[in-house]
Amino acid sequence: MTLGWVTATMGRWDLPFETTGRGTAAAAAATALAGLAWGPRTGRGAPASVAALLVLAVGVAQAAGGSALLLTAALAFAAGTEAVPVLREGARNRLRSAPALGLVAAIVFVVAGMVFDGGAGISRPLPSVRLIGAVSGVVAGALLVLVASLGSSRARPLVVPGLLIGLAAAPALPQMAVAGTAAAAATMLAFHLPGRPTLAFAALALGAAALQDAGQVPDLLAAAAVLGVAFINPVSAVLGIPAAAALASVAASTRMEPALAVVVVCAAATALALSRGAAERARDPQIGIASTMLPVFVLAIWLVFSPGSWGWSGARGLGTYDRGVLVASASMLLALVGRRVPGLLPRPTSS
Amino acid sequence: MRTVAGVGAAVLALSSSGEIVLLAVLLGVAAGDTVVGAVAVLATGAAALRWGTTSLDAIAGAQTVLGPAVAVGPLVAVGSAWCAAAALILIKAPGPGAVVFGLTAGLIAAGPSGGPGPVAVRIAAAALGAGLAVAAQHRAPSAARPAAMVLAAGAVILAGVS
Repeated sequence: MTLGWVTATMGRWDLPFETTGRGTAAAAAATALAGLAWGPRTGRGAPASVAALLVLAVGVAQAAGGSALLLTAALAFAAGTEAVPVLREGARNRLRSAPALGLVAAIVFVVAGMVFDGGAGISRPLPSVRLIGAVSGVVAGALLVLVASLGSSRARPLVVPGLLIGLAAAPALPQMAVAGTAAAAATMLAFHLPGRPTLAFAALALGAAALQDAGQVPDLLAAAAVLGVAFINPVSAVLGIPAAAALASVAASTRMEPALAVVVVCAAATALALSRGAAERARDPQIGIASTMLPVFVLAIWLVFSPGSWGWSGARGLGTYDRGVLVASASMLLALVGRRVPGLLPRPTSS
Repeated sequence: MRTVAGVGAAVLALSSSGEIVLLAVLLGVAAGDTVVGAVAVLATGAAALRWGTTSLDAIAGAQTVLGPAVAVGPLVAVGSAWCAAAALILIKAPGPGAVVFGLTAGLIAAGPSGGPGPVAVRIAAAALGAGLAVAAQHRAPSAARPAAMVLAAGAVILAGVS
């Protein structure tokens, strides 16, 4: 299905719904995450689960480049399909109410769109211009990301629509309030849950999306959050390096507004907390990658080494970063080879 | 891992390629110490704020045109460059990391690129920085590290107001 979608977008086929490169990529990410996390259900749950996967992908694509109607329907359907069986069977994860939160998030978004936006919120593209619609969008997005990160592995695909809703709604809210709250939340989450960088990345993405001239920072953070949710590993903090470079570039080249200063300071504290967690985990000699995660690993390498080529995610102007990574990688590779030759480079002592 | 990251940081600093954030990350990994890494982030961040860019190429280019960072511009900007370089030297990065921190300090202080003249200045500054950092690692008193942290924070503040 993903292959067909990508082909249709690249071939500019006439489809009954709007497609864009960004929407196709987001839908592919949601579908891939679903493929990794959603094992086939047996019995009566199976058709509903498959239907939820299909509708979720359509909804995500629509949210990234079209009407919000299908998105809300998809979220409600996907979250509901996941919520009912898991609640019946008894969740064995840390956050037992996570699927229910997803359902609540979807319903809140639909109701807010219908009631407070006079129905317009579900029939036109995001973001919502009304304050209440934007608030509900940010809240729903945050809840969906929480569900995806803390809930069962089957809920992981919800990180994509969660980020899309949140990033689309955040610019409609007061800059300082959203940026300050989200950035502070990111720092808190990084210190309390360093093993789940996705939460910190998503919160920072929301904060950055509220800024006027954040450039590609929210998109790069969102990409890091989506890839990070597949790993659930503190070492995935390295996925945030391109976003850190982009944020530093914005901070150095534009006038430092208070909201931007708050985001920069909180991002630095978040990076500190995540780097400590990643360093501890990286010392573990048992660290490894499951074979099913190899495609995600390749995407992660691509993001860290060449974010300038992620044009579909909004990333641009990162040619300097790409060149630097190339130079540093080549020299580090040579150093690694040099360490194999006795006497070329000092080896660390074992004491 | 730390040695390899140090080699990457040294090559980035000497060749002025890439983004300053990447240099800071590699310096932090090479140091293997949170406080030393934080000083690296602050010092390199001050350089980026002072020149208005995070591109190492652009920072070197600006120094080629305008002159070494520790000698040109408003007083607060010059002070920021001195503070950043001193912080990188005095933080006493462990092991071979001190050499890389010293190289970076020299290039933040005076790292122009281009013809033979600027390159000579660049090499001299890098060598002097590396020598001072190694000397500080062995001979500086224990109070040097807190002083380096204060200097790094001061560098950012001065760069911000310049």
